[in-house]
Amino acid sequence: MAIAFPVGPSTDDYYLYHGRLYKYDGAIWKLRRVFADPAAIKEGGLGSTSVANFKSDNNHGLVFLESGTIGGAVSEVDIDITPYTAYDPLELWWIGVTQVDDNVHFLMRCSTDGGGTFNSSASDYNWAFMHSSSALASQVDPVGIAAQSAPVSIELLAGQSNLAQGNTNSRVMIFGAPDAAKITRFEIMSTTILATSTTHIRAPQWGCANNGAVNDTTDLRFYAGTGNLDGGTYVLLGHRS
Amino acid sequence: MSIAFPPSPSLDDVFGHSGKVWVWDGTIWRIAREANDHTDTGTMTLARGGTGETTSLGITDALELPWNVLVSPTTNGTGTTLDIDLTGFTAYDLIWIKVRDWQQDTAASVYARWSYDGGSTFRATAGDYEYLRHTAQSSTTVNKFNSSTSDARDTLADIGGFVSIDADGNAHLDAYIFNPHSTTITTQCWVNMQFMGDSGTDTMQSSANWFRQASQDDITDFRFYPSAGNIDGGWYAVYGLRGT
Repeated sequence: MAIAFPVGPSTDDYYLYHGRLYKYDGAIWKLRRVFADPAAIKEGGLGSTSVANFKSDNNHGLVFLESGTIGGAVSEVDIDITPYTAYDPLELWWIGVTQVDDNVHFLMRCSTDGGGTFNSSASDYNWAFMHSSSALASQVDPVGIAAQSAPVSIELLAGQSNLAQGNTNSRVMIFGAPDAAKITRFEIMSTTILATSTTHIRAPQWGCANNGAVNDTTDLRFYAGTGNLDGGTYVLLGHRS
Repeated sequence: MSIAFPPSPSLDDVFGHSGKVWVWDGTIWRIAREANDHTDTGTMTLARGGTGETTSLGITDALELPWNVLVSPTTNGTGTTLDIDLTGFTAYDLIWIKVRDWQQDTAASVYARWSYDGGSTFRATAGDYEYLRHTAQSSTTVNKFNSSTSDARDTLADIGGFVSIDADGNAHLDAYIFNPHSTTITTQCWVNMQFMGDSGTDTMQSSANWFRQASQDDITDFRFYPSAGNIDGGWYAVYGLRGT
C-alpha cells in the first residue's frame, strides 16, 4: 500500500489520512493512532458534539464511509446517511444477506425525519425491475418486468431461499439523498438464490426506484418481507459530490 | 480568532476546528495536515515501526480505502489459462478481479472456472455451475437472456462470445465474487465483459453474466481461459472489499 505523504516533512509533522494519524519522526512516517470511527473526532471547540468534516475534505473520489454485519436475527437494519451529505451518489453493497423465512423479499424504505418514521404509504415509492432466472430455456426475453407505481416499499429482490445456500447480493446506488429539492433515486442490482422449491439463481434484479417525494432522505431501512434477516454485511461507500 | 482547545489533553489527542486539525504532541497543539492539504506528489511505502521494518499495517486496512489492492496490476502471461490464487484474501467479503486488454491468439470464447483445492483442479463437472447470461451486440437488435441449468455449458461459466484476434480485438472484464470463502452460503459471481467480436463480424459486444456455485465450498482459485488457443496479452488486478 502506498500513500501520498507530504514531501519534505519536518520532524514531528503530523498527517491525517482517512481516520489515521501519522507522525514523521525524522526518517519515516509512523502510524500513531487509528480512528476506526472518524466521527469520534469532534469539531467546533470545547464541549462540541459536531463531527469534524474530514470526510468531505480529504478525498474527491470514492471513499469508505461505514460498514456493518448482521450478527443474528434482526427485523431490520437502519442506516443513518445524514453524516454523508457531501457524497452523491452513495454506493451501498449488501453481501451475503440471509433470511429466516423462505421465499421472502428483501425490501427497503426511506426516512425523511432522521429515522423517526420510515415512509410506508402507497404513494411513497415507485420502482421498475427486469430479471430472469437460470431455470429458463436459452435465448429468452427477460421474464420479469416488475413495476409498481404505488408500493409501500422498494423491492431489492423477490423470492429468496432460506436454505443454507440462499443469500442475496446487492449494489444500491443512491442519488440525490441529501438534496431536499429533488427526489432520491436508486439504481439497484441484485442476485439471489430462489426459494427452496427451485434454488435457481435469479439474476439480475436490475432496475431503478425512487422515494416518490421531494425530500431529504436521512435514513435507509432494509428488512425482510416476512420474518427476520439473520446474516449479511453491508459496506457503504461515497462518491464525493 | 481564539480557539478553545480542550483542557488536559493526552498525547496524540486530535481536535478539529474550522476545517483544521490539531494534534497534541505532549507539549503543544500542532497542526496536522489532511490528505487534500497539499499538492505534493511524492510517495512513500508505508510500514509499521522503524526504518527497515516491513510489517504490514494490517488490521484496519479495510477502513483505509474502499477497495484494497490485493494484487497489483499484473501481466496476464501467455499460457492457456489465467489462474488467480484467492487463498490469501479470506478477510474480504467481496473480491473484484479486473482484467483489461485481454487478448487471445485464437478467436474463441472466454470462460471461467474455480477451484476448491488450491488450484490443483478446477471444477468441470456438469452441475458445478449454474448461470444466467445476457448478451448484446452492435450488429443486431435481438439480444436475449441465455441461461442454463443442465446443458454442457453448466460445466463452464461462458462469459462471452468469440473475441476477435484482430488488432482491435480485446476484452475487458470485471468479476465480482461475493463471499468466495464462505462454507455456509453459496458464492455468487457477477462478470461483466465487453469486447470486439471475432474477425468475421468485428462487432462491439457486451456480456453480463451471473452465476453461482452448486455447493458451499471455499473458492481458493479463480480461472479465466479462452475456449481455444492461448492468452497473449493484457493484465489483471485484484481488489477486496470488507465490512469487518
